[in-house]
Amino acid sequence: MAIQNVLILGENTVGRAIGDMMSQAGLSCEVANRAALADQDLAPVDLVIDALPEPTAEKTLSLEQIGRRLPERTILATLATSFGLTGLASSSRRPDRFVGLHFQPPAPDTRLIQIVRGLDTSETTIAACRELVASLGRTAIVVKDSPGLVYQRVTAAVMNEAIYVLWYGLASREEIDSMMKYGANFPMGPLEMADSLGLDVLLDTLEELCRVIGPEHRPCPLLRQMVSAGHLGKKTGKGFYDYS
Amino acid sequence: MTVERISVIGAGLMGHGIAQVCAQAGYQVVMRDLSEELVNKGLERIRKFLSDGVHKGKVSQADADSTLGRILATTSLEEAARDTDLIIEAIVEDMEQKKQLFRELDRLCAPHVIFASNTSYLSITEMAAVTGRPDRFIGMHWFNPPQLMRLIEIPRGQDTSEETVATIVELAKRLGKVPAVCSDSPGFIVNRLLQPFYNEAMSLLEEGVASAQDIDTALKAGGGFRMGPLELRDFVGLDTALRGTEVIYNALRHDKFKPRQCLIRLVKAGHYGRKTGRGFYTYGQE
Ligand SMILES: NC(=O)c1ccc[n+]([C@@H]2O[C@H](COP(=O)([O-])OP(=O)(O)OC[C@H]3O[C@@H](n4cnc5c(N)ncnc54)[C@H](O)[C@@H]3O)[C@@H](O)[C@H]2O)c1
Repeated sequence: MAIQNVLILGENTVGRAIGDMMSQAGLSCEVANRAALADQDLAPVDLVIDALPEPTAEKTLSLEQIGRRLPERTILATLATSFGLTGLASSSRRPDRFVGLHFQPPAPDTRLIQIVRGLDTSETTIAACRELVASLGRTAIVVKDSPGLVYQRVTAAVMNEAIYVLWYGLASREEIDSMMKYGANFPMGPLEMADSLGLDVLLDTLEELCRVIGPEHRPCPLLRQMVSAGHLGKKTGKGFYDYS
Repeated sequence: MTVERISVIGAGLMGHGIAQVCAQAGYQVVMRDLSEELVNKGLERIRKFLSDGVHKGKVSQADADSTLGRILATTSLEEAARDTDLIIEAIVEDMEQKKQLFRELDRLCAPHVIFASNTSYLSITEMAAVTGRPDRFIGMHWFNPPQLMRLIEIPRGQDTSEETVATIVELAKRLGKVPAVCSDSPGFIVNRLLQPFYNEAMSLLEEGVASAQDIDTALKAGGGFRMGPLELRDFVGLDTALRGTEVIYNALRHDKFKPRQCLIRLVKAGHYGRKTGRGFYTYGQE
């Protein structure tokens, strides 16, 4: 099935950025909020992308409602990044046509799209998503529903260890970053990376990894401290570096 | 102290490159290995690197000639120990052999001479302790290939003096490199931080979250990494990779550093990556 007609649920920055990406690629795309959905004709829609913010009680309800009204063939995708896609899939009542799509920030300049397979997602659904990503001119990878997916999990582990190294006083922040840039060809030092991601986001990712995967992901106490202090990185003007 | 003359011990993969960088920056260099054949092989590699540079227009013929002119190749340790300010040790990664070498050098070298080891994983402090100059003993960890990689990681031993640190930092800058000082701890910083990079990729593979290719693609397309973690391991050699991981794990004993089963299995099977044609990937008949 070729995806032509896309409905994005959630009139927010991310929803709109993804909408732009779709329109630029020549797909017919609409961005709507939940209230407007009631009057929407869903018959032509091939793919619904849920861009509603988490947490999930409300989201689950919406997905359940919309799942009931969608045509048989329609794929329901969610942007959710955290582990739990399979749970959402079952409440949508179309677990085989339910999938996760993770657009690597910053959308709409995303290069990588991770297609997330829930426990019951069908091959047909995955194939349709691959085709969609190709038509968007982006790179697709297919991953199982798992905390942090691939990119976030690998980089979070490195950032966490970099914070431990700083906490133990083994090297200064500038030295840690320049070591990884000039000794390991990293595109950015791990502490700069953490500051741009947001230290709260990093902490959440690590906590989930720690809970679901194992204690090797235990967040460094220094990271917790910085989040408690409200130093969340670039967005607050202060993280491992000062941005004021 | 200012370094003027440098002796590089070991003319292998790292040693020849280090000698070349030092000579290109204008230092008088003595390069020592165990036999004529090994020293000449090192010199030949330098010659080749420089003449490739001349062909590509990156180095002038005159610079290439004068660089070679500043390198004295020898098999004599006495010659390397005489008239020098700094020893850069780049022999095999073996604590006993390195200690043996430093004991001899300590006897042969003038008191002001600084000893620097290019070890990747061994303790600077432990090596320094067999010499009478632990204050003038330091790590100078280069990356492969030394001619191109900009970082020099500088682990300081327990008793390394501030003056020694300052001297080596200054030297690294003059060599056109980026110095970064750290403590003497297992794997220092770069190799330690790379362990979770590789290990998480391998865990993802073992858990069946994604294929090797998709894992590498995620890092490259997702964040601008030049190579993915799994292709990097294949490139370096899985036997070497496992040995490094084991050293860090044995020292730090934390699960995040523990060698992953998929790596151990590949090494047991003799699949060492690129050099054997198989590793995380299969390589065509080359
Ligand atoms: N290969 C890398 O990517 C890399 C990177 C950073 C650091 N290192 C470290 O650099 C050191 C050298 O590694 P390499 O890859 O160049 O190894 P290599 O095997 O290519 O070279 C080692 C050389 O040292 C010589 N040698 C041994 N004992 C000697 C002695 N007593 N005096 C003089 N020469 C002697 C050997 O004959 C050999 O030519 C090791 O400590 C290694 O851990 C390697």
